[in-house]
Amino acid sequence: MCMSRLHRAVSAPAGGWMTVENAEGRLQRVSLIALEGPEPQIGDWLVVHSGYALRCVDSEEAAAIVSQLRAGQEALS
Amino acid sequence: MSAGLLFARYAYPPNALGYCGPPDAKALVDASSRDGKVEDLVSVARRFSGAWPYLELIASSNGIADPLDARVVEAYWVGNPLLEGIPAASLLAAVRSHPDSGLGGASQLRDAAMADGVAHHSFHVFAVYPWLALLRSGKPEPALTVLERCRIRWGWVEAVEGENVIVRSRPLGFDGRELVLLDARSEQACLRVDGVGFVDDVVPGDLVSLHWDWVCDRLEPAALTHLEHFTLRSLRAVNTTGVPG
Repeated sequence: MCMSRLHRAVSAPAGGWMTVENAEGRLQRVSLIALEGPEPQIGDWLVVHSGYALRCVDSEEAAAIVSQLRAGQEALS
Repeated sequence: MSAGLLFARYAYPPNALGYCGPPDAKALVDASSRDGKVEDLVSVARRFSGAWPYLELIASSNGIADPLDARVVEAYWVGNPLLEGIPAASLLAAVRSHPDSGLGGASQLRDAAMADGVAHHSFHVFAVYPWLALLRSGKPEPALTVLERCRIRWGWVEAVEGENVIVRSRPLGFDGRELVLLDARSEQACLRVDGVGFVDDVVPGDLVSLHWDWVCDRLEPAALTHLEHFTLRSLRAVNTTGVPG
């Protein structure tokens, strides 16, 4: 139900949090506590679920996810 | 109760938090109100792309044309006999169409679906997301908190404190390998924020359902039986996954 979404980092990490923006331009502060690997940087793509960044994805994978999400939205419309 | 209101009761809490659905949570409240238009509700509900595939599956598996039929909506959030008899392969196919389906790992999803998985919200929470795998890798938080708050849970009201209530409910726990329900403890939940609320005239002793920090509905005994049954069934399904050998 609480669907994950692809977000782009729009602020530098601070205190384990950062601000991200989804495809609709909605800003959200997310926790980095569940994230593996190095801290994301501005412009990085993140998969976010329930307020937590889960993993970084590269631009190629991000494009594939966006394509999948768009296909799902088109199927629903 | 209208299907729209029933859908909104459970969809609003994560929507208001910005976790799913359209960006304006008020759109859901408006669409589900008595004055709301059916087409607006359908349009809003379809944007809850986590729930919609399940509603479609439950409806089609039971010969019901409308995924927003109240019986279908109740089946997904709370549980009812419509969930019995949906083949695991159909469940798996429906979930695999979901953009989040790969998050928890393909094997976890497949194994849980084949182990008597069910088209209930609890199954999606436990089997699709990566939180159980994170728990098993030794990271209890925030995994356990998200699993607990994201599932629909039930409890008895102990006290009403203004716009909040104290509810006695059984929290989710993790024993090192399996998700379990622990002994009951008290927790706080909200009845209303900024004029939005779904349950009126709550008194101590009421049996209610909770999603995230909200009281969603007052449950009848039969609904409690279903919610508990399908939650435990989903727990058993995911607990069969990740077993070495």
